[in-house]
Amino acid sequence: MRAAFAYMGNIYIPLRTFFKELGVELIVPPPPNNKTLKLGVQYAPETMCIPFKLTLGNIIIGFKMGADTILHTTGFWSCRFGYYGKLYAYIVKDLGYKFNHIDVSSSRLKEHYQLIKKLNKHSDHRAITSIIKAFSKAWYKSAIMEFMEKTSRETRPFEINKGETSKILTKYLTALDNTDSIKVMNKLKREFTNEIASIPKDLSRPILKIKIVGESFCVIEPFINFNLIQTLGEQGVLVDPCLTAHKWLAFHTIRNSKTEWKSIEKLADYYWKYNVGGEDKKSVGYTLLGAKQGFDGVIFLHPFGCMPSNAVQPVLHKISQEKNIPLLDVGLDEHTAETGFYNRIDAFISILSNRRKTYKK
Amino acid sequence: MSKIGIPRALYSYYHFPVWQKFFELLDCEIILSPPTTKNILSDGLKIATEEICLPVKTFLGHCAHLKNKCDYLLVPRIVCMFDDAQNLKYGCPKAMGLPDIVRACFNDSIHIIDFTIDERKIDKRNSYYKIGQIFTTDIKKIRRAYDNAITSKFSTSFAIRQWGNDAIPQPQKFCAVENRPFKSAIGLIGHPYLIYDAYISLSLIDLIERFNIKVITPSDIILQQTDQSINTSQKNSLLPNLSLEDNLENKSQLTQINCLSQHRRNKKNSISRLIDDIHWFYEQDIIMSTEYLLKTHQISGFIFAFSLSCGTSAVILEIIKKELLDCYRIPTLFLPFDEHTTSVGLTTRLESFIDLVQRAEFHTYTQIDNNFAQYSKEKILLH
Repeated sequence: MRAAFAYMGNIYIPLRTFFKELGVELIVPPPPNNKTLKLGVQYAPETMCIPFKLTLGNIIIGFKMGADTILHTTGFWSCRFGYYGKLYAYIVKDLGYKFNHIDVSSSRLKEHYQLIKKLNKHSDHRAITSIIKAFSKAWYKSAIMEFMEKTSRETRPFEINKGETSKILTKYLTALDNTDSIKVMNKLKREFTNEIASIPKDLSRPILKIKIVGESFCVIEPFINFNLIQTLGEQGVLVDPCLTAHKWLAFHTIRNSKTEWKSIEKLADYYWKYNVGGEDKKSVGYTLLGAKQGFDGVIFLHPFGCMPSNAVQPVLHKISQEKNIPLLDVGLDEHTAETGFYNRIDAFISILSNRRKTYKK
Repeated sequence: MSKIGIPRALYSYYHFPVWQKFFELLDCEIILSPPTTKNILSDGLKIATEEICLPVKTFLGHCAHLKNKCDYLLVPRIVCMFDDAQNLKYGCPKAMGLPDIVRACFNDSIHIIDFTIDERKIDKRNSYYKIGQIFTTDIKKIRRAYDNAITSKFSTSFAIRQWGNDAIPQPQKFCAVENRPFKSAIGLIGHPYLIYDAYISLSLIDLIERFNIKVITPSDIILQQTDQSINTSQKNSLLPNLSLEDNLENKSQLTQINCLSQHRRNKKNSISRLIDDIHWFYEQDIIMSTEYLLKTHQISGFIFAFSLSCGTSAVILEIIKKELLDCYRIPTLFLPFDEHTTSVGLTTRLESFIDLVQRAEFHTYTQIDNNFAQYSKEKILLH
């Protein structure tokens, strides 16, 4: 079984290990580029949101690379995310591919188990060991990935030679992607920590702190947000995204850090009562948290036409006024150009640094 | 006596008769905002953020109009509701956050009744009781009001149309302008709060009727269907050789055709399969009526009217396209609406579409049926 899946940021690194252990080969297409976007825009419905278009492009490329299955999580709720799998199936079928469509959802655990059993020579013993192995290895890998990303986010603003941290990060992430053994992963983690510590740093530099909130795909996928986290870091800004690939995976599979997210949603209750999808309530909660923790500003990234984000926009603007925290609200779609996007970001950052000077006086 | 303001926008187009009766029985005065005007829409545009869909902007305009005229403003929040088959269906994200949006846009200067319907936790009856308790402590009275009110609805789709635009005088059997009988019929599919609101839809129904063409809308079908009790003998009236004129002249025949609920029970029909996949409450009508009109051969073309940034439409129209329109091959027009749509552009598109429809009417329905049979065979083979 060769499966195509919705590609998002570094999510493929743990997922590849996970599915390999279960006996599924995950087809990982090259990272999204303009060709992918063009493919997605061509076949997707016009007013659909950008995550769908981009992931559709990646799935079509996956089929060109020889996939025979679509793997997608569903959960029917108010957001359009629940219908992604269905629409992928319609569109790919129209393109003439033959495939199996597997909707991964918690209500179908029995079916999924039968499938895993089938892949593991119809043996319960093998299936269960493979599941345990898959979960533990993927979990370990994604935790190390999170550690590396977090460390590099925190060192980037202080580095003296620009771009050094990112270079080390990409080197170690590719090494992490290529290994499956926990021993090697531990070794990589140790080496990474040593190498990051040896980078020349200027810790006296004054830095801005910015929180990035918004829809998960726009925050996690570097192609659609023009590698915002890295670029901001190299400009001397400490970035704290509300979501990372690890957090997204951990929450949506084993409900990790449930209590933390619940407390954040509780914070948002006054302004936004129901969680409608698209990380809207979390955006509200993290904005409030950012104001509490003394962040300099908040950047709200969302796909253009995303229903929950559109609905939550007025509320975020109100919070920004009431709590006195600057907010930049950027809608992203296939027509967003890098220059225009960074113009806005640069203007926002210069405003923030001026604001900090006046506040200090 | 407290005054309750109800904006003439969004979900009022579905539930206004219920709300009116319920609050009147609780001795409240209802202040309904007027049909959308230029001022109301421009107020709404000023208040709302730019990316949100047109009906919500209109809703905010109506709220601004009612702001100083009433004690309470009724803002519905539709989270979850059971449909006819007892499946949980959700509202659209904007419907779920509407009170929060209104509160954020008006800086707490309005007293909002946050009317939440969430049937996962509380059933519909209790959510009405909860609202009733704001105005009276007499539980019996609230119960009586609820029992009387819950069954009321708009009598016909024309009543909704008149409600959305006061200027229309009477239901007409003939074309409004030329006093001639209608030549053919077109299905106009869309949310009632868009297609019946004469200002934001640029009186689309009027425009089409001027071409001597009858408009059939989702509410037409749903209101007629619920009036008509199911009669098994009438099932035979689903005959493809009935000419279109007959159908329109004899309105009774139009209503006799088998009922949606019967459609729904029949698992072989694709209508039930599609509906089970749709998890939005208000989108079911759209899919159901599209399928119904296609299967009963009443129309010679489809117009889908939707607001440009309406997220649900993007998915629903794609499903309709792939599942239904691809096999029936019927003339179709997709009309997105936003605040920049002008009537000139709209008329041009309508004119060319209606030319297309009149040509395509030569294409008989039997042919379409053959096409469908062939198509479904191919589809089965593909599986």
